[in-house]
Amino acid sequence: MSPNKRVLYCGCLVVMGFILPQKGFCQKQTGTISGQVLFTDRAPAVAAYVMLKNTGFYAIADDKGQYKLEGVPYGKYVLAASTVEGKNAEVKVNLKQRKLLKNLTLDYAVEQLEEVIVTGKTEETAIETKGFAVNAIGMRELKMQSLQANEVLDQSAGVRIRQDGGMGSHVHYNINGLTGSSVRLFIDGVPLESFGSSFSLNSIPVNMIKRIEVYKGVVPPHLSSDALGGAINVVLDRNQGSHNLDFSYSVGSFNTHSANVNGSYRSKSGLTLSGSAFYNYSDNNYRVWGEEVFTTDRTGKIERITATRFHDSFVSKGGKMDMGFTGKKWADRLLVGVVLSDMQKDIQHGPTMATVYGNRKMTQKSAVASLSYAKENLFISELSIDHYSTYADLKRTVIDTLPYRYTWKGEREPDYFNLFKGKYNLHLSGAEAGVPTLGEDHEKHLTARTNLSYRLGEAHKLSVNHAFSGFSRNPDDPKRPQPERDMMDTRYSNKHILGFAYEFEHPEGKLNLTAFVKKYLQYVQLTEIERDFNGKLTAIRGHSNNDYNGYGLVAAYHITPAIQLMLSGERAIRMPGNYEIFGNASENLLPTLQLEPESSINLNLGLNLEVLHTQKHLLKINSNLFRRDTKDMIRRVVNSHNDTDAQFENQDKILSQGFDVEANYTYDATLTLTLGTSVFNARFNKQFDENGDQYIYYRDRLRNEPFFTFNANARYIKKGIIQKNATTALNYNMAFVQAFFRDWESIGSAGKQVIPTQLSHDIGLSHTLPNQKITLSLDAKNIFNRQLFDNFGLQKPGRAFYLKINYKLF
Amino acid sequence: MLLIALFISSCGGDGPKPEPKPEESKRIFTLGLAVGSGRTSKTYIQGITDPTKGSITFKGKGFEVPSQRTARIFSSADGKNIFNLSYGGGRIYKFEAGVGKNYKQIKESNVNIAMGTNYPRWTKASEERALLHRVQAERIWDETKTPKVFKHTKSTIRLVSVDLKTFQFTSVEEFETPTDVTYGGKYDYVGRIDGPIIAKDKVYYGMARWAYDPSGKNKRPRATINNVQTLVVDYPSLKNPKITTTTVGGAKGNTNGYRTPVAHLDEKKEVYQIISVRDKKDDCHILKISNGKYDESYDFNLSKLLGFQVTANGWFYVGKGIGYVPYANMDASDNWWREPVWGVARVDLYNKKAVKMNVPDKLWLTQYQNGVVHEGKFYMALAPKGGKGNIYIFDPESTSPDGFTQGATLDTGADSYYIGIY
Repeated sequence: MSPNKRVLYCGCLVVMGFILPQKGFCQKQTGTISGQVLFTDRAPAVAAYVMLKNTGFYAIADDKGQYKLEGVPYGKYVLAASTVEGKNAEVKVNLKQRKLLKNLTLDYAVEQLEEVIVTGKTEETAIETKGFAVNAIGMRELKMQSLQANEVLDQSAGVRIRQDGGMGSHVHYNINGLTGSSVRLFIDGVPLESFGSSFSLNSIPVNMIKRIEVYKGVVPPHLSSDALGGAINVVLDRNQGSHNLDFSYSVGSFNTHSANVNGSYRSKSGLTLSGSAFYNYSDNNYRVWGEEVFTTDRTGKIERITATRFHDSFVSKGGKMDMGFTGKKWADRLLVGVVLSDMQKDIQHGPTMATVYGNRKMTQKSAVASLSYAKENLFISELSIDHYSTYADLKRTVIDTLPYRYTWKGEREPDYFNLFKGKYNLHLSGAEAGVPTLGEDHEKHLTARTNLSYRLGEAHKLSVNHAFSGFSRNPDDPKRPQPERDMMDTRYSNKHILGFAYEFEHPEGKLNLTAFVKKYLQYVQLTEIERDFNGKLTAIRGHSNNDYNGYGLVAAYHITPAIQLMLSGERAIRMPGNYEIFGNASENLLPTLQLEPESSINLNLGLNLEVLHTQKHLLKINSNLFRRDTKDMIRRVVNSHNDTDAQFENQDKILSQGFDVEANYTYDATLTLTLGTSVFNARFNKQFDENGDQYIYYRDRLRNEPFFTFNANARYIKKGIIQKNATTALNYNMAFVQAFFRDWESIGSAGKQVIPTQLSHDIGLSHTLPNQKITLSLDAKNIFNRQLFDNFGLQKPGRAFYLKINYKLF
Repeated sequence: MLLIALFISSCGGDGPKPEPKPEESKRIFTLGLAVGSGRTSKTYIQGITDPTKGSITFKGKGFEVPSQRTARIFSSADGKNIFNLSYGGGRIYKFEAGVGKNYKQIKESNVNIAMGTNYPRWTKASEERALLHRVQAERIWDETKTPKVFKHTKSTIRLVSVDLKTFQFTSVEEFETPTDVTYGGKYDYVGRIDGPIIAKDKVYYGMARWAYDPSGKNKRPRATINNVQTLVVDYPSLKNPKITTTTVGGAKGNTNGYRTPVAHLDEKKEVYQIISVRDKKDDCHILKISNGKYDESYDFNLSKLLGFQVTANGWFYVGKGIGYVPYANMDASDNWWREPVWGVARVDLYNKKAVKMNVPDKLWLTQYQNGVVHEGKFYMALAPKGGKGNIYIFDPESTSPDGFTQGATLDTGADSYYIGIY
């Protein structure tokens, strides 16, 4: 099969390429590369940005799509073209004569929600993922909509996002049945937690995102993570080498505003500046009703009401600035950067909506400095390095100092009994969620990731990947007495993950193989001061070292050009987290030094079919069968005489099996239909406890986890409907989540708490003006105003409308 | 042991049976199962009419009781109504008991509004009243000094009574710990009150004394306890708080119990209350309270009578001075709170006798809530930790350690516990 066909089939970046076999070049001579950039329908790609990657050479295509790069030294390059409305294209060129003619063809970017299997076919892409079970979600088209990154992820098969409420609320990620700490998040390959929680996925404006990769189960070694259930990597739009400035603003229901601006500049000398700023705000004052939303009269009688959330506002803002050099002889990329962000959030209720808060809030601030360096052919040819390190200083504060009790009407509860001080009913504990607190966690986090790779000929590649994480937390609470504050010691943990990988790519692309081993090292230190029953004080300085190994194999094989089989397996390790090891004094959570990591055997079998591929029709089906056998899951247990202290133990076993399928149909580059479903049958797999007693819920479906989801998406894009040369897009999304039990499915038969079936419909319309600079979009979400719950008793927003403008200044 | 049990079981089946009654007049026995003993614990109940035979399982059966943590359940004496406190949810519920999963909610009330917390404790203090209670502990510092100096812990007690028919609050009171309380340690305070009983014009609340370490170095210091104390208030006003104190028979311990009832009235309306001790150097006593004061002439030393060191989180009264005590054998384990070293003793309060019953080993009754007195017999749901068990039908007339029959079998497993029969 030709490279063309193969890549088209895979749906990845279109490469109209043919690799010239000759080697060797003369550095002294220069030549000209020119040609025409066209879309698949032969329309010229006006203003397409054409560049030679990792050099300073670039050009803008004229109104016929023609470009010219002059004075280029002879040699091998990657020629890349990008536009607003098309997909990127890259092609290898070998300049060894005065003039080289090279035309490029771009696909329209209409299939943005399809699952793209990133195959790593283009050597130049850093994504070495052939054979991994991965969804790579292109964001180009979605940028125009008023979507949050998490909403985009949620439409992807095998991924389920669960949110506690509106904008800024807590988010859980579930990949094929595994959730919580099993799933790791990255931005450009750097762990998300190193940016601070104020820089969560939802705070990143979609405009800044180029692509989101979702790895199900088996995580590629270059991410160097200790994920057990998968990883999500958000690739930001570097826009390397261009100068651009984009602005977007969205306004909508619940007084929701989102603004963001990002721009970049690159001089001919390689000096690169890029910056972005974002601002998100929402009152989240949507209406809620149902079992947990009530007022109580003075007799204790309960009256269910429809209430408007009154203490749920969220604001996050921040900026990111990078400067340095790109495309230099000594560095393909050397950038230093800083990310500043902060976030404030009111907290409306406790664990369920029955407990109403009116004052509790939290704030977070983070400052992150970063350094990134990349160079191909470092010292010797075919040796590449990619390094990224960050140092983050994070501060998180919980503010809960007032004892007033609130009702769902947003009022303080009057003190009917007239027994207690003041005119209002007070929380006996002194504050809304417990004792008064100004609890503050001050965290410092150094992370460094380095990938070194060496290519042996066309087919073989060796790489070493190292990730380091050094973490310290210093908790404090000015509301606590000084002696108690003095006792809150700083806690440290260091983590190294070292990976070695070998990759093989069959010259004709029939077979791809990746084999890797990973070494996980962790060092933890904490000091506990205890007094025995005689009053004797002892400082117990504890530390522990963990050393574990994991390994994996990934293979992809083209049976025919239209059928690709993918197999991946990994013994994955998740190291115990800081929270699990260190505990938390304010939650009566004791530290546990001797926690073992969780481990899992992950297997995926994928089948990609190109059912139909004609001039106008393209139908693809991607499916993935998986099995995750997880041991030593870390579980919180009550462990004390007084029933109030808890700590973590290596306890549970979970077996998750299932499949996800996504079918994608495109007609004539205008209509795209996507259907996706996933079934993750995750079960409690521990038969006996430590005493040999059998669990009555052995092999029960995991409680409080969804297990069946379905998503349908339709998108229609057409030029010239309203205005000539203007693009109009209409999209519709339907999401279904099967109801699930909050507790063990097999125990009890009546009165069981259920997270009900969710069915929501969203529609959107966007219009790009003929100048290609301004896009307006209107989105309506949950149009039938369904009561939606991801978590028990935590209602999500009802019907909402958003208007967004994107302005591409240049 | 198993053979004996089987033998007794088959004997019991051959005994004289009461006249069969029409179905609707049969008492419904409600069984309670807690799945998970920690923060994620859920509670399920199931109704049966014949506790003497059959087998009980909650696999696909039973009613999930609303609660954030293990529900705190009690029943009316006739078994027709089940009352539940959603611990953590702050609401109380009244259900009409039916067979199987058929529990119909007939009352719901938000007690949070009167208690100021979703975590109150409650006790059935008579057939008409439930009492809810909570202690708020506040650390008082002398802020004028640098560094500030700890003075004491201020305990504020809130009491609420609820009419079990109407689910209305009948009294709401709040006060600080009465000044006649005594402490053995410098920084001790009243940390919890629980297990109240209404007797004539008084209510007696059990008390736990806790300690605080102002240096913060010891997160859970223990109070020094040299006596036994109980909070006494007037009924029905819940006013006029006083403390009654005793050291009769050398008794020292806390009186708040845990989830098992602590105090009962006998037919003469005298109060009998069990104390909890912390370690095996102290004996477990049942004491008598009359007219607002401990009876200094009465002492029932359960540890001495059984011949080994025990403690209890409560007990059950059947009649004629006879009761049954779920106890922990402290000689068997220092970690008796968590370990399955529990048993059941028959006590005769009038004749001062105690018998260790031949119930199975490996019982864990720390969180046990309730037993039923019905037609002269006493019923308990007992299952060894993690294993199969039975409804035990005790014969109060029998002084034998084998004075019981085994009824229906109970199915359970790891991390799930029968918390009572109601």
